Amino acid sequence: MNIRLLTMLVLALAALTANAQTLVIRAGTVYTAGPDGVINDAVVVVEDGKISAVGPANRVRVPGNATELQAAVVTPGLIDARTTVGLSGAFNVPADQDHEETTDPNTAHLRALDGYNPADPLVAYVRSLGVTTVQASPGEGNPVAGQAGVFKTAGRTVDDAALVPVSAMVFNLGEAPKDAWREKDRAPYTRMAVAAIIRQALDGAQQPVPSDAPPDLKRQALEPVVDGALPAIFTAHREDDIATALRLCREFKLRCRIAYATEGYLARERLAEAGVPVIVGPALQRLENLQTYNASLENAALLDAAGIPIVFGTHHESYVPKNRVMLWEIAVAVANGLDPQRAIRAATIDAAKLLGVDKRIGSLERGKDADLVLYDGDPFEYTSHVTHVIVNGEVVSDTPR
Amino acid sequence: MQRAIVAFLCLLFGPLAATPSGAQETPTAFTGARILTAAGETIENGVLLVHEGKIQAVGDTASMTLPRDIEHVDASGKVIIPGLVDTHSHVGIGGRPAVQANADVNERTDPVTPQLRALDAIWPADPGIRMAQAGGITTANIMPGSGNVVGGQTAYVKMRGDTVDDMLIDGSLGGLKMANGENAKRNYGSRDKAPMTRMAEAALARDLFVRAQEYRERWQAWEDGERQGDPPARDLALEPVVEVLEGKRIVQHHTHRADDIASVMRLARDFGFRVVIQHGTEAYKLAPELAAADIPVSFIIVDSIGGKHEVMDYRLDAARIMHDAGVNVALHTDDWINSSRFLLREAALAVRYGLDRDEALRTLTINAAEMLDLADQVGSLEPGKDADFVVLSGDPFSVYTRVEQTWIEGEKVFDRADPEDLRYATGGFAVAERYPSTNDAGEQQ
Repeated sequence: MNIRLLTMLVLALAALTANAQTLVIRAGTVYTAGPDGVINDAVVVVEDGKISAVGPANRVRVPGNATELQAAVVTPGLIDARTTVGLSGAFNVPADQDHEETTDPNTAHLRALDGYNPADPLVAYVRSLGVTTVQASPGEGNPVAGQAGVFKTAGRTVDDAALVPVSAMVFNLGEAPKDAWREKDRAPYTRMAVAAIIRQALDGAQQPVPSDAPPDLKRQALEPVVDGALPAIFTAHREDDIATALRLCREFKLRCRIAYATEGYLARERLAEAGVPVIVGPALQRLENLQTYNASLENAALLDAAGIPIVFGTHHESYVPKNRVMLWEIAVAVANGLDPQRAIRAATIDAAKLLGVDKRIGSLERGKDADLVLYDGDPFEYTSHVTHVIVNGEVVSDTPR
Repeated sequence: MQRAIVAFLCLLFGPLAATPSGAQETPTAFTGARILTAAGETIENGVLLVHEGKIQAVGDTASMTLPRDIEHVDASGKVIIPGLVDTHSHVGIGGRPAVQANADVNERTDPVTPQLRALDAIWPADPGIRMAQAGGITTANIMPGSGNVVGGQTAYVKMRGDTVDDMLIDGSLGGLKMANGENAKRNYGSRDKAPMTRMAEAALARDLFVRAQEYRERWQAWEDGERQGDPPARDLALEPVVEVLEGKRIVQHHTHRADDIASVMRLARDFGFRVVIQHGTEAYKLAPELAAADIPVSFIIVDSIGGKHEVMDYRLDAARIMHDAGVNVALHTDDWINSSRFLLREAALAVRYGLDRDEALRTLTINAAEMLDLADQVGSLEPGKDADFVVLSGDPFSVYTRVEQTWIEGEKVFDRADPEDLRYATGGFAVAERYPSTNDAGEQQ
């Protein structure tokens, strides 16, 4: 072979593997969130962007030429199962607010994929505190808001970052859609109209389409929802809104998830019976509106105790702070009755399974993506720090936070 | 004989009462606790003696001789800290739920309203007050909002009482709430009213202070003229500003960006008044200047950056930076921005980002009290001060620590062991019997 060609080939191969450093992480405790459970005095080996080994230090063969990191505790990267981060930008001005298309109450055809900004300062911020994957969602103002997507918090473009470009259809009940549309003098003003708009949209997607009908992107977007192929997330805080969500899901046979479920602890029997997973709201949810007036710090623990599958979401903040820190919200839930190991699994493998990405992420198992978080103490203690965040085997954050 | 009867009665009723709710008549000693006084070293095994609403004594168990005929409360294993002082709260005027009916924070009809008084809007039955008790807050500065350049007169209150008169701290004047930066100009500029720019915000403030100076001169002239003739017409808007000019009333100034903070410093220097920087997001950039001018900063720990331009350079380690530069730093809730239940959490996060632990406790107690001219009365556990204290289950800066009891002037206002009070700590106070109860085995029903 031509020596020049060979050289070029070798250089090209070197360039491909240049970013794939080998990492050896030595930790006091590793929460794998996988079949290996919790391992003390553990080692995690990262090669070529994947977990190549995880186990007790005295049983794992450690490659040479590796960068070594130390940690008190390691967990898989945290998964925020529903957030407007990336769409609702840090500056909070019209130019960077792309989560709320309140120009029509049914915007089923919108995709978070088309608005998610990986370079928004909040993406780097939440990443620095351990969130490695998000389900980015349209906002809460529209009854039929549009399509969420699952993205890693690393990657220069959304296409690099996307794990599931279209992951769920988002619907919103309760006060937010009423507030958004009453000020425009348009429906919905009432909860009746919110539900009616949703039913009309879903019903339309179930109807046979005449062969001469013009393309309808909204109806097309809702077809997989009524087919049960695409999950349906319903924002619902108040007990009666949770009941409305369950009713709509039953009527249209949707793959149902409830977002927030602020009064979920009051509706826990019905939720458990329905077997519907809940993307709980932040523990520090403000008690401010009528629908959040009964928010409880113990909600996550109470839902979990009732057998309801829970994952965590930071959802949406409209002002200051512009986003919640998922790790710190989970900490308060743990301090108010939620078992810590349960909490770690809910924030990692359970969320990965719910989002359909558990083949790649959610636990520290050989062959999965190397998305990990390193801590210098109890991850939930106020005074501990996230010391390193690793996504796809690359250290993306190494300032203690 | 009488003494024996009294002693017998104490024996009879003492152990039956889990904790006395009032320590007004009989001195009460809280014993065996780790006591953080905010006035010196930690007392590892200490006694806090309380009588008639005041702290009688505080010290090491080994070196304290307690009087006889007092009540004892065993506080072994607990941590006792001073009642927390929140320099920036809208509890009571931004009532819960946050519907228009309860929204009395921002008088959006005029950007300069020094005549407004928070005390006229405080709703003592606001659940937010009980939630603040659940968070260990005993004293607060309840303020109008930052939507106006001059929001009005603030109220220094104790977090207890059925009427605002019960709440107001005797002899306190309250502060004057002012604000610059984005909020006021967005509030008015968006409606095509002044102020639209920072220039107009500053001009409105200067105009007010000049008018107050002239008002004061008119009154002084009338006094100097031995009160001959009719006095000048009273102006309820200018009177509180004259109190500011005379050093009796502190300006509590909401401001974020470094240039806006500099504007506040300029105004304070030009007109000679005392000021506390409220929030001071970028105050860390001006820390040496603030320290040199002896201007304190009451900061807030918010969980993330963003929300508006003027807070984009927010840093969680700003409290540490400012303290290291010699600035007097407090931490506040700005309830409802942060919940009053979680003021201790703010100090814990400040510790996370480098602030010394003893100083972190002072940001919630004595430093805050100084910014309200209340340091003689509250803010530390010292003899003669109000018996405002909090009994914690452990380290004040641990996520696992509970506020167990909150006491104001020797009366217990919050007790986590009381099922009703517990619901103000956890949430769910309006749900009553529907809140899942824990059965005897500690399992949720």
